[in-house]
Amino acid sequence: MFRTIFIYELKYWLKQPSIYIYLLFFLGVSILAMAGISGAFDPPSSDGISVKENATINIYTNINYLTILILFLLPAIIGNAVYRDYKSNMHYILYSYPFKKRDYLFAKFFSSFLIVFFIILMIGIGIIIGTQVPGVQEEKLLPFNIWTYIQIYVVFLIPNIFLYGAIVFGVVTFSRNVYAGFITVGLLLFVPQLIINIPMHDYVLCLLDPFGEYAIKYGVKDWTTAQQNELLLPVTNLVIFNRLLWLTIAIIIFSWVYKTFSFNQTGNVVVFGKKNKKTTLNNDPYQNNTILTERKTVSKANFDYSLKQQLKMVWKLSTIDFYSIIRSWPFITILLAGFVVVIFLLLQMNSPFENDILPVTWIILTFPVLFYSLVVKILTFLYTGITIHRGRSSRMNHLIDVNPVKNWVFMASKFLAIVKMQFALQLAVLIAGISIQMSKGYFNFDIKHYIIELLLLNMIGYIIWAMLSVLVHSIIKNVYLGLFVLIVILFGISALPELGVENPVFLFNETGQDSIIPFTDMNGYGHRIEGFLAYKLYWFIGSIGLLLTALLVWNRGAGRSFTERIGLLKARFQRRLRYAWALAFTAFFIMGASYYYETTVRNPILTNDTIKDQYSNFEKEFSAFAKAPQPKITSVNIHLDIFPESESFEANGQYVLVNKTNKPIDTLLIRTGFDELSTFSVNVPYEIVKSDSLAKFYVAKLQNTLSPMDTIVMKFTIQNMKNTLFQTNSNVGTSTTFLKTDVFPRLGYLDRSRSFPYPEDADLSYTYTSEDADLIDFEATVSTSKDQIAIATGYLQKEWSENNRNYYHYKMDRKIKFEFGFNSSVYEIYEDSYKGIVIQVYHHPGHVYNIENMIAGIKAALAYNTNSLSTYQHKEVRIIEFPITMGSYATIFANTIPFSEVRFLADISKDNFNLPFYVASHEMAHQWWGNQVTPARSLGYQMVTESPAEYFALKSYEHHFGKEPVEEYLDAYMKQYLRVHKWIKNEKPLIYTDGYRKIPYIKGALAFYGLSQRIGEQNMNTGLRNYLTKVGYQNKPYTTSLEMVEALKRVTPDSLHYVIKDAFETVTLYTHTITNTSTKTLNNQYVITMDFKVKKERTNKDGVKENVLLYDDIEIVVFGDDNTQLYRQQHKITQEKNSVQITVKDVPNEIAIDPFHLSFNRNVKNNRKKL
Amino acid sequence: MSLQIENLSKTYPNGVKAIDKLSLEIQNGMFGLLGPNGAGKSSLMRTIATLQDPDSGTITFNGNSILEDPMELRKKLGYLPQEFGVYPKVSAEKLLDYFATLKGIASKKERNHIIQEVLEITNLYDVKKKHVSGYSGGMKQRFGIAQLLLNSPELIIVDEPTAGLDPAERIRFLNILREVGTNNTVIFSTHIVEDVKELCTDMAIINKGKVLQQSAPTEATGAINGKLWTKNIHPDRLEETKKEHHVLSSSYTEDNQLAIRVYADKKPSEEYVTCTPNLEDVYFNALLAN
Repeated sequence: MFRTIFIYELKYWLKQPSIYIYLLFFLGVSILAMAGISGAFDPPSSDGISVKENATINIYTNINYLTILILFLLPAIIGNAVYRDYKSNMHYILYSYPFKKRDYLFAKFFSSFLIVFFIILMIGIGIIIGTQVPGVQEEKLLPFNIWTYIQIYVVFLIPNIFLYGAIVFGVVTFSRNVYAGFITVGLLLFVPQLIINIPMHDYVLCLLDPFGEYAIKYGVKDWTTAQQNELLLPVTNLVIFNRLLWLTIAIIIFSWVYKTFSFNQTGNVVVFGKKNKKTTLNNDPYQNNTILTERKTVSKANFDYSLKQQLKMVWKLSTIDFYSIIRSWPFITILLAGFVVVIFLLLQMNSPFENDILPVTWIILTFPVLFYSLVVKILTFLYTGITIHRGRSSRMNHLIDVNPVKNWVFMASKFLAIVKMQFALQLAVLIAGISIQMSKGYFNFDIKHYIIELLLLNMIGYIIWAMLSVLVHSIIKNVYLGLFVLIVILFGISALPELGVENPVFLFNETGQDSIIPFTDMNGYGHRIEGFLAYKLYWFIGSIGLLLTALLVWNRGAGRSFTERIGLLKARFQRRLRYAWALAFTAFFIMGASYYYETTVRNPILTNDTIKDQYSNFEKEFSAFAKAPQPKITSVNIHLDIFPESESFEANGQYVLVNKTNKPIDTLLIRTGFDELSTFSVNVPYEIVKSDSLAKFYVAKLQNTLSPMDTIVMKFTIQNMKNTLFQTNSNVGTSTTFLKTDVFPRLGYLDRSRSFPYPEDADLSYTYTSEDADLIDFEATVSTSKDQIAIATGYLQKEWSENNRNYYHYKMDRKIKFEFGFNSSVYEIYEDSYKGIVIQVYHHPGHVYNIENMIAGIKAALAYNTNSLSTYQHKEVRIIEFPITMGSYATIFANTIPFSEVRFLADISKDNFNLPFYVASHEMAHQWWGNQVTPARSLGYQMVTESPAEYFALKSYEHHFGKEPVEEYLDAYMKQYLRVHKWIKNEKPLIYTDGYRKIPYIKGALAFYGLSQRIGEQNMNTGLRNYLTKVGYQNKPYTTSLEMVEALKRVTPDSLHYVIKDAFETVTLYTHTITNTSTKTLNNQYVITMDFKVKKERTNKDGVKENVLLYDDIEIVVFGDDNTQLYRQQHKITQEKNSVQITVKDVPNEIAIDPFHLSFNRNVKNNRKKL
Repeated sequence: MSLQIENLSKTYPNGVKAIDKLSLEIQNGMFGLLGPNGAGKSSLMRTIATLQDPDSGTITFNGNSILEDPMELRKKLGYLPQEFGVYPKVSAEKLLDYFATLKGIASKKERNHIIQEVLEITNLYDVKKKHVSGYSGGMKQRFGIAQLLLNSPELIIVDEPTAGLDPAERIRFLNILREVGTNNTVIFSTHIVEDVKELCTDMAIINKGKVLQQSAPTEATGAINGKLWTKNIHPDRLEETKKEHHVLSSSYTEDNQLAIRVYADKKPSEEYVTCTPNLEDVYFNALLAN
């Protein structure tokens, strides 16, 4: 019997056209995707891609990605196998046939599984073809290896599909509802998202992931490029246990269903909580009186077929459908699951920034938006189908369709029901958001922002999706197929940019990152909102066309064949509908064309490719000038007018240029701001001999050469490129402006590669910040609108109002680096002082949460640094807030410290590290390290600026808050460093650091702090002060990291020079492993014996690790209760295996090797042991 | 009031000719549409009810073409399909309110009033708060009548409403149909001859999409009066007899003989005795004649 049913089922499937659609679809998509990533559509590139596109690990990732779509097919195929019999009421007959349930269930399952197998086979075949199509780039690919595919299919893919198939089959068979299967798939897809956010052990994480992907990632995380290219996937124990766990779960579900499944006719419908009471009413009131009631006729009502009444009907019908949606359990399940994730994300919200952030409204709205919008879209896709086909699926459509109601009324009511659902979903976010804010003790709700974001900006996009859904579900009568098509469209659009279609004019309803308009308290949405609305209007009008098309194919009455529907379409395409249709699409195409013209022809949005092209073109033309000597800027005077209303600015100014070389100069190389319109002139006769208007680069030939030490004056004017509807071309916001040096003209060749030379080879006459300037005099006049305050680097000389604008004149009293900035906003000012130094904080009104922390940080830094280094060079410090949309960093321009909004909103309530304090101290330390000491343009310069800034910030922090938080911070830094260390192939030593992944910050802090622990804070600071005294305020030749290391060596005993070599000059790490410990009591004392291994490895220039001989001092610490230190000593270690005996008086709790990170230890877990 | 159907044809994509150049004129009163399963009754009724378009032909109701202006007919139409379901977990009262809205009754008060009336007339008033999806077969069919009465229809189409009802339910249903059908045009399809006999003032027998015969039931039986003969034969001889005579029907007698009914202008032979024709004879005769 199994055979009969099995073959019958296969034949059934092979007759379904949808199966062939699926097969072709997956074949096509796989070919396209693989050909795309193999470079078939790209111009050849010489990027040295390390892991080949068809390496097993990459194929695995790609197949997994495509398998997600297949998962959504499972309910439609495997789930449908049994569901089909219910739907067609065949089960009434089938279940009376003499076959066993074993035959029935297994035949149904395996036949549909075989069909799914055919479909997933298409992915592999498509990928293989995709690597072979003409145009793929050989260097991105490895030779074809059949084992890659066999392993992925046999070990991962087929078991995965089997597992999910079994679960879905079980769920659908049990619930007799195909959407239950859909939800199950959705929930399984949530699982990895959810668990990755829960802090847990890697092993547990790997086990719990139903896809087994984390287990694989865990297995390959230490692989080198070569391994990734050559090896198949690692079938580790973790992978096997993961597979076993989920296989067991699948079998349990399947066998439970098998056990409870019976050939009965009512099914096991789960109704929340109570047993299904689907019994037929037997109390027919007519049963006992055969005589009719008195009534024989029905009175005639008043009928109203007016437009007004039809519109009212739309509203009423939509409400009925809306209630049926929100009461249905698939909706409730998806919503609840979605909400759990969203709330989870919100409670976690600290990921993108280093500090926790206060639950201000825009933050609440930023976090869940991507995930939640996916939930809303999926619900839209699903429920549009269910709602449109609701009449048909409950077989009531013929009763409905004969009523005197126009098609558009029905369609509009269905569409409106979905919009109401979306609205309700958005309201739910509003309520959840406010609840979370309240639960965190934050009551400053921005209701207006909630409403604009949720109910206006997000809703527009959702409504457009709903319109498309109406069309798709009107064409396709199978709800599930329609849902699938919509999901494919959604994913397809997000994949289009990969295939080279980048202009949003082609990307239905999606503007990439721009679909979320960045919001900040300081600037609101700015003018971006207008462009956003214009873009959405374009798709909205196009979608009205789609709705009208849906009206043409709207299903009413009895089922129709394809040709009948075409005929009907022609018949309906008449009169008013025709005009409306033509109007909508004409408007759509006109808007699209003008958008395209606006963004590609008139104001092209530059793609990365065109920028690359332009640059290589530039190089060809101008590289001859690369080494031409240039004068340096010695004085800057700027007049800047900021116009917040129009988000624009105008500036003019002048530079004094001096030939500081010992050769005459005959050519000036001038590059003006890339995004600005600039003019310039020089006060001696010259001629522009060559220029590149795209790169904004000009070669000016001087009529008379500029002799050494001669001076000329350059004048310039600047204005930002005109803002368009879709692009703002300035950093002037409607209420906040932050302009930096990048808008001003610069001298010298445009070198985009920006690779710095090694300090040994560097020309020490250039500073790390600017090749075209040493120290400069600085003066500026800034004007802004009446309500704003404008700030520039320098001291305020004068302020006045004129023409209803505010003017400020600033001047610096001493020479500074060529780094300055301009801010303007509706600031409030908080003022304090420290020993005569004025400390001001310019902040957005209301952002007062962390001002005192910052001021404390500034004061602590001033105290510690003036005491241990030298006096502070300015009379004031000004912290200036700038919006998150312009960055999340802080920086320093002489006496001004621009500080991102992020730090102003930091939440340090629950024992968090006080980052606002720390960052303020760090920036303040740059007054010494960066501004007093200015290193040359060479690798390792950040070891001279960032590393000591970190060290002094840590010290300031330590003197203010104590040692403990600093130790914790270093712990975290060490872990972070070890992650980065694993990540990068050829880590450069600190003295040559190129700043990659914040190495100079993280490793620098550890190296400086570690050294100071060994040689003492006093010695350390003496060494640094001597260095600073020697090189501070120097002119060329500028200092380098090498000179700084020499200074450190001078205060370090010879016996510890190896420490500097390990931490600064090489990449050297220890591996400390405690192998055994034992404790004895002797005369009321405790004798601890510890066996341990010490290994020290140094990475050589080729990236190979070499063992280093040991003659090192390693610290061993014994902790008692409450982390008291019972013992802390350096031990001289000379060999790998060691044993020590330590006697302590109190009860020991834990023993540790180098717990305070005096040196770098790879093994941060096994260097501690409880006793 | 009259419904005129002329030259109506409909062929399904699978090649089945459901309606074949069919013409009919239907006047006020109960009109029975009699025919075997698959005769095209439902297709015809769906077409009249504007749910399906014919390939060719015209249908006019009171002079209006319903193919060109279906909306006008829908205002006057009451339709009960052969088989229908309802939204699950919705009470009769609420569902009727939904339908009353669709039918264009704008005032809430009026809707409530009329819903009460149709519930009374169909004897469902006491169960109006119960879910229709839980109704028994007879109650569900009566609910179908209740919903079609909401707009005081001039044309009522009921497609095989008695199929699947038990005898008591069937009688109750027909009683109600008789009540509501007195002043309107009611087209009532069935393959049960009894239904037509009990109810209809006019009828048509159709098969394979064609009208075989149209007449009032009494006229139809009158027309074959005196031409119907019966005889008991041995079952083995049925085939043989069929070759010789128009055998309309046969039924077993108590002594396992077959009582056959034969249509003939004259007495076929001596063994035959004359008998009174009934509507069933008309029906079989019509089918056999074509």
